[in-house]
Amino acid sequence: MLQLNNVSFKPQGKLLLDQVSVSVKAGEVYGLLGPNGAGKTTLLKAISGDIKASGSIKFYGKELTQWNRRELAKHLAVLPQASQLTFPFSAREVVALGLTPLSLSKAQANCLIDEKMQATDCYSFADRSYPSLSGGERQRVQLARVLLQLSQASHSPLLLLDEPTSAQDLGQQHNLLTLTQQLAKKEGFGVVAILHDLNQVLRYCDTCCLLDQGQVSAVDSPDKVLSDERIKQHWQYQPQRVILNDGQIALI
Amino acid sequence: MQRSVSVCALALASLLIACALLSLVLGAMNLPVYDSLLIVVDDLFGANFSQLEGYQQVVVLELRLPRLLLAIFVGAILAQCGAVAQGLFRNPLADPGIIGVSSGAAVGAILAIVVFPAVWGSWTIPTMAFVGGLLTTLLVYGLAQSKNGTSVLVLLLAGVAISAFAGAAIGFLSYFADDASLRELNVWQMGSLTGASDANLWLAFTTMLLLMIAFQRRAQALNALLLGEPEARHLGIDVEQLKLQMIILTAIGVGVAVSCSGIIGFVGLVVPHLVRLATGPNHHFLLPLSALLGAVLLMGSDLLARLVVQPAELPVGLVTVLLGAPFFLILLIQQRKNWS
Repeated sequence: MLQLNNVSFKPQGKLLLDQVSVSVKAGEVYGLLGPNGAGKTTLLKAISGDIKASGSIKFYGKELTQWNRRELAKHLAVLPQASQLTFPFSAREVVALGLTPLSLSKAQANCLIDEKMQATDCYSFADRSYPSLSGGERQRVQLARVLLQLSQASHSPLLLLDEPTSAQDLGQQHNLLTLTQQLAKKEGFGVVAILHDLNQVLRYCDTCCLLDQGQVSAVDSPDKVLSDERIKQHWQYQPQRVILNDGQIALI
Repeated sequence: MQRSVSVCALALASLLIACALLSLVLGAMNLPVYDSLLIVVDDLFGANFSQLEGYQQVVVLELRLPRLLLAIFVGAILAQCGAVAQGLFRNPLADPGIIGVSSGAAVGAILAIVVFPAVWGSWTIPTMAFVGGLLTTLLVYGLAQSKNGTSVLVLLLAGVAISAFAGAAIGFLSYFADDASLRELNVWQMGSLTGASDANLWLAFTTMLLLMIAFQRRAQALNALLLGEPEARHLGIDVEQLKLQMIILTAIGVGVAVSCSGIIGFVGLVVPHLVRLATGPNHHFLLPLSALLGAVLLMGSDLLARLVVQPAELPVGLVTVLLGAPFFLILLIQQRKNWS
């Protein structure tokens, strides 16, 4: 669904992305990882259109810049890392902002808002003011908004997650990543997520892309990309591998 | 939420009617309520029910009615522009004047008073004020452009700098003005609704209607903009176009208001803030309710301005600031814990 071809970004002479070519398929969770300053966030911004990078970024075979804004918003959504709101919207009103690109009747809209808030486990604080929520609760409200935004997609939508687990506690991290995994498997979403925790990459991603200094260093399934040598090379750290009861590998 | 909106709307509409009635009948000459209303009906439908004397009819139809209508239109315009400016800057303390429109209008007005008195008769000051306000806004907007789009921060800072410059220009021109011009300028800067005429009533009414429709159409986009500019863009909104539209509409609104009634402070700042406290920041409700409250506040202030020192009267801009500033401080003190 998404093809990047020779995408480069060089603001003020500083090369932040260097000839990046990757592709993301519908139904897969695609992890972006790499040390700090590797270009993960820049790459995500290039895909979301926040920065104008050179090269080609095609979404369903059509250059991103050629898409109609509203149509694109129905198919591509970004979950922001930390969202500030100066004005006290209720959690439900923030979710309802996801209706912006859609055309729905009021009854349909209300029904969908309820459904998305239940799916992301934030129905219980729907009427609380958004600024009074904890970081994790805000993130779930934003996720509900983003899912609402994608609810009328005619092809499998693409969801971009910028460090989705940063404000969440352990249980919430697991719930959020399980939910995104289900969206990919059951509803065919493409999910691109910046993740820092290598164990989460191993557990939840189908494919991962290791970036360093703006270049793609490796793209493959997580267990192949995350070899001991690569981790040592990119993070200057020698992990130990533990085989868990369910057969999965954990890095410590 | 829906319920508090309906309650607010109902309360404000009743206040608007009550205030309008009081404005018709109270003043240096107190008139009977029923006949004052009838004369307005007579005037509209060419009937002849009212028992008012001829001079009393003149007071109602030619002095008080135009004035209260102008208060409604200008109050509604200023309050809506304030709500939009606060949304656009994502700052509850923004004022429509922040983009330089009021200070530019003041420069236009003083040029009209001091340098070119009466080129176009009584339209000189309003026209020059409007043009001054619009040009200043365009200058501020132009300064905030870069290849990454419009920077709201630069817009704000450029507005501050241009306003300071305009202040100096006003000081310079008033230094050389004669006493009569100085007095005229002084009164103009304090705002007054005495200049209500058919022409500026129609102008203010049309502008109010245009803004109401245009702002309401973009209410959802303005809500989305509160999330942040990238987030609004991801929701499919052309953020640059939205900002340009809102800035031009605000400049036109404030420009028309200033040219009809001089500088009236605090309505644009306090009104949206109050409405948000009652019904939340959703622009679908915030905009129409702000328009209502702005109309009530300006009409009420004008009534006070006429009553306090009668038979003389105070400039209405002075009353809105005298009422608005302490009130705003009380709000700030109550809410400061939320902002620390």
